[in-house]
Amino acid sequence: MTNDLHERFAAAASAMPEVDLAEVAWTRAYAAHRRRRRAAVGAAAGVAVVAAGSVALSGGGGARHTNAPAASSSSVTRSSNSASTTGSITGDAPVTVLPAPSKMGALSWVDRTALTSEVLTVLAARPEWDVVKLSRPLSQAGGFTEGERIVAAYADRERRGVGVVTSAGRVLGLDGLDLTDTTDGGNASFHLSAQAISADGRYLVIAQPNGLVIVDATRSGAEPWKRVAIDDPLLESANLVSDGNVVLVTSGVTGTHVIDMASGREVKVIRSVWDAQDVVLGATADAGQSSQLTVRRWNPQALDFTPAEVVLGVKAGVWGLGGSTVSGGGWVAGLASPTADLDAQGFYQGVVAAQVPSGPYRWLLDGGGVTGDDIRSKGGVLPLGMTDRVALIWAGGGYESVGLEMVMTRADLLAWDLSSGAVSRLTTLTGDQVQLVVAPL
Amino acid sequence: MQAAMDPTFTEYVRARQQRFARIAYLMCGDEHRAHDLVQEALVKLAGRWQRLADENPDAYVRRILYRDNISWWRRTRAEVVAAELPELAVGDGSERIDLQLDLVDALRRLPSRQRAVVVLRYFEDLTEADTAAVLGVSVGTVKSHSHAALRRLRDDLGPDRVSMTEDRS
Repeated sequence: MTNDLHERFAAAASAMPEVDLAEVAWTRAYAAHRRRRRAAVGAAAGVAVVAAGSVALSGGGGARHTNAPAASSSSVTRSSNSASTTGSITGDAPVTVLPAPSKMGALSWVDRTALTSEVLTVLAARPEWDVVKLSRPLSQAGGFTEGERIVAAYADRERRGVGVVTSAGRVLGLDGLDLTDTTDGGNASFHLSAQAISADGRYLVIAQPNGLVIVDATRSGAEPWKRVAIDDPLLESANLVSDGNVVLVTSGVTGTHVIDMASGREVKVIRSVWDAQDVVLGATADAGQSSQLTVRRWNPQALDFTPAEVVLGVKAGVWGLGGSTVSGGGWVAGLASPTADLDAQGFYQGVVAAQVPSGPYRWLLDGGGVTGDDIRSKGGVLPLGMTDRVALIWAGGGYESVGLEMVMTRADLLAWDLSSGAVSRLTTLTGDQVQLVVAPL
Repeated sequence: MQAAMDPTFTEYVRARQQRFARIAYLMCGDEHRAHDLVQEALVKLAGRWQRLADENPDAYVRRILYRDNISWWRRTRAEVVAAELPELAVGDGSERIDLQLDLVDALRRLPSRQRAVVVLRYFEDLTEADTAAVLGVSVGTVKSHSHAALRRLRDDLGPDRVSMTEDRS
């Protein structure tokens, strides 16, 4: 490469404004250090409190949770091995803390005989899924078979490919489907949306610049999809709502396009709602401060979203939300940034789940910590789907050495029991990094 | 760790933060996320400052920046809600600004590891061995990622827009 490219990189980055981060970095690090010391000092006393209010989950060493009485402030205790933690969030939300990535093996396996969701049952049928290696090109597989449904889909960013896991346990790569990155005008992305698969497993929808791809598992042949043109180059997400009758295709710049599945026609464009789905979770507060959770719902009659309504009458320990909302069985969940006091204890991300409209709610905090080598990436704990009693959680496995290369090679799919807080392993994604979405559970 | 800020930490951060912000920007393509990435990395560095001050804090920060940015699932709602479309300057110099935007866009399209390799190699001017050490990969992997990234940048930007006639060893 040439000096020319160096100069171009330098020029491209030259507009970055300088922000003095020394003080805030030191202050945050010291606060975390002090919290950890306090937690360690209080550990002995904490054991007695925990023993009274908690339920051990899934065998020794697994994640723990508690239904402890409401605390006057957020307090979560991390044990020495990071696999046993309990506490409560302001507002009496029970907390479960995931082990650090290297200790995920301490979680026990889910009771597969008790699973009632087809999606979970199919995924749990294998202890490990390397979907890239397992995939068979759809053209070679002869297409979908009669009655076969889509239970999950993955986006393989390295190869710009999409594949599906079917009700028959097959992994089919959609090899004839040409897909490109979506863009918001500056940031490119290659991904599937959280609610991209219809409840009956028939459809998978994919947003593309200037259009939408609809994969139909009831169609035969090597190319069972069609494209719908939408005059918008900045489309980023496509989600099925209203029992699969409508696709909401969103551009953060221009709006959310309402597409009728039966006709394949655009019937309306509404103000942009990011990753628009049946239910969209929001938070109300300023950065770092505890907020109230809100939801907006898709109104199939009005073909628009309802105004935001407060889900809980309490502060939720959340100051911001990321990723997509998932909902089901009366629950809604999202990736959440905990408030500053929890952040200072080393919990910088988690999943908050709330039963709408008025609670209860609970937390799954990432116990990976913010320092050391055993950390999870930001966004490394994501909800993928919900039933009335279980949330399917994607938990990145940190970084591992593969030969001489350090890559993220695995992610655990976890079943988080919303009644008890118990977390157990459903299956593991291995091999190349892919993004996974699932059909409604 | 002491409550009072270590003056050597302050001095180090103020000397390096702008550089790190630029690295982060090239790696993630978003100004706000870049500052967020740098802040997170510096928090982690501050917690280990006593141990790392005399070692190689630059390498530690670069590694954290890379690791925090590598995962596509880092994406948060605030980060992906689209910003306004970039306004291009007109008149003299507009072509150059256009090219810079194209370059950042082309970088964003690279897989994370390839992007990190080209930023470290050709913006940070690290050797292949140093790049490999930061990323925790082999020199061979750096070579292959570098080759693939340059080829893709050339494809995306056009050979006449970025000259790539010389390969550093």
